[in-house]
Order: sequence, then structure tokens, then C-alpha cells
Amino acid sequence: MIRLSQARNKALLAIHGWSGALLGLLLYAVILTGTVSVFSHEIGDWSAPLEQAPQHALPHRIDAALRNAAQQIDPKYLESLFFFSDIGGRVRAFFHADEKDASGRPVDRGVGLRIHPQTLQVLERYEGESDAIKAQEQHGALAEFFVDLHVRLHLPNPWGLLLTGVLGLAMMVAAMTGFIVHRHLIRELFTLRRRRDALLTARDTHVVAGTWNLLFAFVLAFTGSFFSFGTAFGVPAIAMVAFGGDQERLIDTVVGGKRAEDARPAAFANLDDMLADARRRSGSEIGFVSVAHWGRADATVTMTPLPPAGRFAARNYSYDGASGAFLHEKPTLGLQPSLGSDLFDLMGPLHFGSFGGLLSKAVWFALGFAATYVALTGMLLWTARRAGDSRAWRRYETTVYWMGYGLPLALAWAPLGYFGAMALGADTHAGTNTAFLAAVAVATVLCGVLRERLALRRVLLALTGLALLLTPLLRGLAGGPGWGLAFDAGLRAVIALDSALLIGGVWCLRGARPSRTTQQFDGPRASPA
Amino acid sequence: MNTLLWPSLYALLASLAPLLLLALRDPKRLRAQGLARAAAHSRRARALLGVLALLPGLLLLAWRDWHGLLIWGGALPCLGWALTMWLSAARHTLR
Repeated sequence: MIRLSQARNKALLAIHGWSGALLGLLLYAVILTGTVSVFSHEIGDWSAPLEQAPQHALPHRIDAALRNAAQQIDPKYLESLFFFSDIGGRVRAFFHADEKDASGRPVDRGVGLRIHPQTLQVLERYEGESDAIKAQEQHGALAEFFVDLHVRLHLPNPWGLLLTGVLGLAMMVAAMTGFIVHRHLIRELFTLRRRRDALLTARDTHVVAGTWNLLFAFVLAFTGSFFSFGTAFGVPAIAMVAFGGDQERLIDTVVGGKRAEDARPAAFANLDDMLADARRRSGSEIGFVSVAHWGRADATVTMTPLPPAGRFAARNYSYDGASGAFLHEKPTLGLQPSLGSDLFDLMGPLHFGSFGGLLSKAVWFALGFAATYVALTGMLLWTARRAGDSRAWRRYETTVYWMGYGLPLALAWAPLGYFGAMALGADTHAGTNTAFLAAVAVATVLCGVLRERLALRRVLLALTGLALLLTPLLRGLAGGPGWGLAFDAGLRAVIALDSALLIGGVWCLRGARPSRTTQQFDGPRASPA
Repeated sequence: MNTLLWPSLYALLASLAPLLLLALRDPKRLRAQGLARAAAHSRRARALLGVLALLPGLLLLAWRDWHGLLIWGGALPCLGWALTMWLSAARHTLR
């Protein structure tokens, strides 16, 4: 494909291999958890369903519930409000004030509510900083665990985001160098040699998966880095340079549409009427609403509809909160349509794969699985070539097996901890974390006990399979609906995810059986020269 | 399922046939698996099949069906990869 001198080829291959070897373990974790997180919405609906199927649009009559809540909270928290349909269809509302903590970092502090979408009853009420409120909520624990592990590896901001941003860049470097050094990309598209040298099979396995996944790898790495660096680095840096460090002013300027302040008290108009008007204008259900300055003359309501069919994003509709009058329609960024706003709108759909419902999510899941496979086979190939050289490389090879097969085990155990805690009435966050860490500990012990890599792989796969098979059972024991009830109530996510877990469990158990293919792959390494 | 997504499925099916033909008679694959090299496609045939495999995507692009294009563009590599893995596991040839 691209002709390079032998020296240049060697140098690029070294960059490709070493970037993968040094950052591959964490990159693998980010990609695998991202693959799972494609279905975070469905995981939330599956793990914490209400009695009826969730609607991922807002209820049409929400005004009375929010107005009643607004009357009962500290008026300082009426500065900002947002609400949207969340796990199981529960409406998540957060009345808050934008404050700064001791270090000057912006924090949101207020009152969080979970409202039943049909009865409009307040199910849960929390008070405090937004992160602390999230930690108290029991229903979202499992889905949030997977998403948080993917977004920032459970590290505190901004370090977790910076790290995942760097990993995204590493993925782009690996994809680019892999593309350049592989001279026969098209010619070897369908070639995977299984009956010769084990290292050759390992090389072909990695190259074939990487070639087919190349374009997606670029897209995913770029959009992922965009999200990570944008929040952790981009916004603070631009704020520092152009807005004297005031991130809120930067966001107001870039997003646009902020009205002149008028703090005189004024009655708040009917939200249901504004919602109905926005639905009529957009031809779509409303996905997200934000309210600034509830109860003031300068109150503004901004509605974001769900993207219309065939589109990636919808335009926002702004209303005067005091009179209910329509103000204007605007794109996500700025007040006029722009290429920048269109590109910004594209980042989410390209990264999350949620633009086409379950079909696009299924495709993105498959692509994520392929990317995970590329990362794992790359590390196994790199270490297999060197494990004969030194004890350090052999230890690193064991570490690759630990992460490669131990992380799926830990992710499969996490729901067991979640449902176990739910059944016992304990904190589901603690239950999820404990089960995850327990699985990590088990994998670590097994790595120490089982010297033979093939046996280690088989045991870890078998334990993963068992966990996946047990999860639907434990979900039922924790009070979750059975399939009959779920079918009657339209809770499709319950049946779909239970089925996926059962299929995944059987697949893992089958993979744990000895076979000639795995014998070849994990067979004797090439001896050192 | 959203009816607007059906074009992407039709496009995928239309791409799958030439992709399968490309894979079954890929010369490097046949050589690597010790199969009859006479069955391999010529360079011209491979180019034509490649264009046919990509044509549905170009049609989606011309139609400005962005959702369909992304689904087609994402699913086709997955299917290609799965096809390669499957063909490598056993001896497959087109007689």
C-alpha cells in the first residue's frame, strides 16, 4: 500500500507495538467498557424497571409535579433546573445553583428528584452536590458503573478524563501506524492462516481484525478524545485564555441565547403548554429541558427534542419562562446554523451509535467488540514474540491474560453485586463495586496459581460464563419482573438483556472448552534466536 | 424497527453477495489454505466485485441517507471480519 524503507517500516512498527504495549492494557479496558456502555440505557431499564415500559420522552403533564417541588425547596436552588427521562423512564429533575468549591472548581449543588412518569409522584429526593446525589441514587448504580469506568476509569476529574483522552490519541496512533506498516492491506483482507506457525496465526488474527476495524477505530478514537479532552482540558483552557477563567461565561457565549438579567419576581408559565408547543414545532417528542431563573422575570426555558427520524440532532426551542411565549429556535451552539454546531452535533451519534435505535447500537456493539479483539490480540502477539526473552516479558504476558480475560469476568460479576445488594436492601453502588473488585481479586489469585496460560484462560472464561448465566436468576430473586410480566408490561429490555446474558454465558462456557484452535494459538512460542 | 433503516439493511444485503464472492475466491486465501488456485478471481474480477460491494454505500450517500450510510458502513466491516474468521476455520472453496 505505502512503500517505506525497511528502517522506516521498522520504526513505525516499533511505535505501533510499543504504544500498544505501554497503553494497551488501559486502552483495552476503555474499549471493552465502552462496548458494554453502548447499551447503558437498556442496562438501566433492565436493572431498574418500573411497572410499565419506559418512554424515553418526557411525560406530557409534568408541570404540576415540578411546580409543587419548586415550592418546597430552598429558593436559591431555583437558579437552574434541568429534567429528562432517565432509567426505567423515571424523570430525573435537578434544581440547583452553580457554585464554586474551595479550589474554585464549578460545582452544582441543589435538590435532585426522581419522578414516576405515569403517576408523577416523587419517588426519590436527594440534596447536595450533583456527584454526591448520584452516589446516593440506587437505581442507576449498575449503568453508571459501566459508563464511569469507560469515561474516566473511575478516577477523579480531571485525571480520569485526561487519561482516557490520551488513550484515545494512542488508539489513533496505533491505527495510523498499523495502516502504514501493513503493506498488503487489501491483498490480505480475507487471509487468516491457522495451520502453520502459532505466531503467524496470532499475527494474522490481529491484522485481519484490525484491517476490517480500521475506519471505525479512527472515528471512535477521535470522538472519544474529543469528549475527554473537551471537558477536562479544552473548556478550562479556552476559559483561561479568553474569559479570565470563567467557564460559565465561556459556555454561555458559545451556546448563545442568554437573556439580559431581570431578577424581579414573576409567576412561572405552564410548562406543559410550552412542551406541547415545542412538540408541535419540532414534530418530535422532547428529550431534555433546562430552565434558568425559575420564578423570575428573565426565566428562560430551553427544550431539546429527540432527533427527528433520519437526523442526528434537533434544534433547540427557547421560551420566555414568565409568559410562556416562544422566543426563538436555535442550533446546539450559537444562534445561527453553522458548520461548527453541525460537527459538534455529530460527535455524540458517531461515538455512542444511538442515532438509529437498537439497530445502530447493535452495529456499534459489534464494532466495539472487534476493536476490543484487536487490542487484546495485539498485546498477546507482542508478548508472545518476547516472552521467551526474559522473565519480565513473561510477567507482562500474564498481566495481559489477567486484564484480557479478568476484566470481562469482573464486568460479569458487577451485576451480581448490584442485584445481591438490592435483594439485601444494601447500597447498590457498594454492592456493584465490591463484586467487581472481588472478581479482580479472584483473577489475580488465579494468575498466580495457574502458570499455564491456556488453563488460566479457560478458567477465567468459564467463571465469566457462569456469572452471565446466574445473573438473570439473581435479577429475579432481587424482585425483578419475570419474562411473562415483562412481556405484558412491554419491558423489552428485560427479556432482551436476559437472553443476551444467557447466550453470552453459553458462548463463554463453549470457549472455555479445550480445542485445537486454542491449542495452536496458545501453543509454543518461537524460541529465541 | 424504524422504517427509515430498511434501506441500510437492503444495502447491506446487496453488498454481502459480492463480498462473499470476493472472499470465496480470494487468491491469497486460497493459496494460504492450500486450495485450488485456479478457482481464484482475476484482478479485474476482484476490482469489479469490490466496486459492487461498495456501490450500495455510494447510493446511500447520494440519497443523503446518513443513518443508513453509517449503519451500512459499520455493519459491513463486521460482516467481512466474521466471514474471514469463518472461512479460515474450515476449507471453503467455490467449485
